Amino acid sequence: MSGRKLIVSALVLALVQIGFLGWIIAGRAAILRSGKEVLLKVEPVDPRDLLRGDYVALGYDISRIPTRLIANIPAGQTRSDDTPITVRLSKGVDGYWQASAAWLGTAPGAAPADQADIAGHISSGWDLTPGTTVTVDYGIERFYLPEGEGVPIQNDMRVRPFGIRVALNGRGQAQIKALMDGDKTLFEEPLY
Amino acid sequence: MASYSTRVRSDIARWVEAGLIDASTGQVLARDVEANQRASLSFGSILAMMAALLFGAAIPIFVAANWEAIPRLVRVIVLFAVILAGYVGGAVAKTRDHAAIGEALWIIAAAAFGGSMALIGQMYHLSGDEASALLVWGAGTTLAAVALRSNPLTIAAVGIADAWMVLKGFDYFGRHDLPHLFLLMAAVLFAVSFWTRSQPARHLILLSLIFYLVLLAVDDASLTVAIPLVVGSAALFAIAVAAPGPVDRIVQLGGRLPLHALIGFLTANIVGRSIVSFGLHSRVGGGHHRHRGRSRAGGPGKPGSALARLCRLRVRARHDLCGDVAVDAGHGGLLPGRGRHARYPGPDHHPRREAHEGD
Repeated sequence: MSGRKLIVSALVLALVQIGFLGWIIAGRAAILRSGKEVLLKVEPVDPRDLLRGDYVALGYDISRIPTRLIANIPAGQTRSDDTPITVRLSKGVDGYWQASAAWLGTAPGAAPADQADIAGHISSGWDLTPGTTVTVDYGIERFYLPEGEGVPIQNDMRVRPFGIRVALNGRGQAQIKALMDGDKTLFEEPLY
Repeated sequence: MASYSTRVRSDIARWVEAGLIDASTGQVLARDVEANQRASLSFGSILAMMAALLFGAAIPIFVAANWEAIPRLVRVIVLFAVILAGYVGGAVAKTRDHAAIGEALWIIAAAAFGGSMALIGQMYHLSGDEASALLVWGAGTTLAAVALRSNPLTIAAVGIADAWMVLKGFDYFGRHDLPHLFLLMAAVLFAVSFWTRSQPARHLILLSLIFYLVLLAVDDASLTVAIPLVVGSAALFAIAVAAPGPVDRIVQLGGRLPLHALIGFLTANIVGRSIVSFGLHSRVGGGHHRHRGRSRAGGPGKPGSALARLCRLRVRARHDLCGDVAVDAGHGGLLPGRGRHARYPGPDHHPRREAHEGD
């Protein structure tokens, strides 16, 4: 490969990779900027060890969805597949948003103005028979903390209710906006 | 660092100038030198690559530290600058006959691409699985290897693909099947390695494939994988020994294909034998181990067996082969600190369901 050609392909390659990374950042910033905001209640996932390296593992009350809320379980299916799931949220009296309905795959129609859809994922093998719950991942189960601030927050999380403000785009993709200690905002994310 | 080929090329240029050889001969000679230029492991190139790997390893640590001292937008820009400077600077170094420095800079740039993804995940609290991030990183590195025709980047891409396969395959709670996509990745990287003239990458791919097939055989717990692997390796060995010339012209492994075939043959043999012998053992030891037409191995009281070790290796302890062993191993303390695994009650019971009983 001649010299000039090699340098040009290196330049194009670098721009493609940087462009790809920039595209991810732009997508996330767009959800933060214009997504619909909901407040979710945090439930500690593992009371012994929330802190994994540099982030806190988060569970939400909407992480467990009772199967009776899932409207479109095919007749006769008792085990879940590896599948996306859409959960419709509506605001509760305490300000936290709760699951009011869910569909495997996508929702049949857009959410009304006072509700919001969040896209999640369930893995295969969950029991879908009535009376059980399935665990849903929304891609927001981590909160990265600055160095050294993990332990106090982890300790507080055990004794007080914490919340996460989340922004949702039209397709239900969730993006963490802020970590709330009750009514107090602990960390608010800038766009970039 | 004037390498041999650099010196020969300047000599050729001098001879052409002095009229000792004509220009066309000079070109032929220069091309021959370039074509047969061995990636000679000079001290300098090893040192440069070590430095690149250490520097590359420093990037994720820099990201993980999550210093508030440096605003994160600055951190992103720094990493983007490292990507740009690494790839372009490496290309400039390469064209100026500093091949080792060039390749080292490319490795740093590829590490910065992976580090940037980690940083973005941290910035936006993404909890997506690490496996898909590795997949994207591997794709980016493969793209770089193709675009720059780089041997070290090809090896790096194979390494990332291996890491992905291991992460995905050993994922206990995910209970995915073995990542068969790895076969496609191996095929693509094998093809790429011809373009990038990367013989080490081909060796690494073949070894990874053998490892993958062994995992598959252990996972499957029957001889449907082990026997074809034994037979295939033997056939490959026979072909490679019978017609070394033509075969090596195709695979270009420096005549070491028989070695890979032998490794495949031996490991498949060991795995096959352990499946057979423990399968027989359980059939003799107790008929209740027969299950769904397959023989189940590793009866109670054998937590230290080779099979138990294999199962421990493949932590996911699944289905027929490992069900009993994992339970035994749990009681026997073979999986220290993993109490959740110890409760895995057998093939027909989902471990996560148990964790949520009583909700």
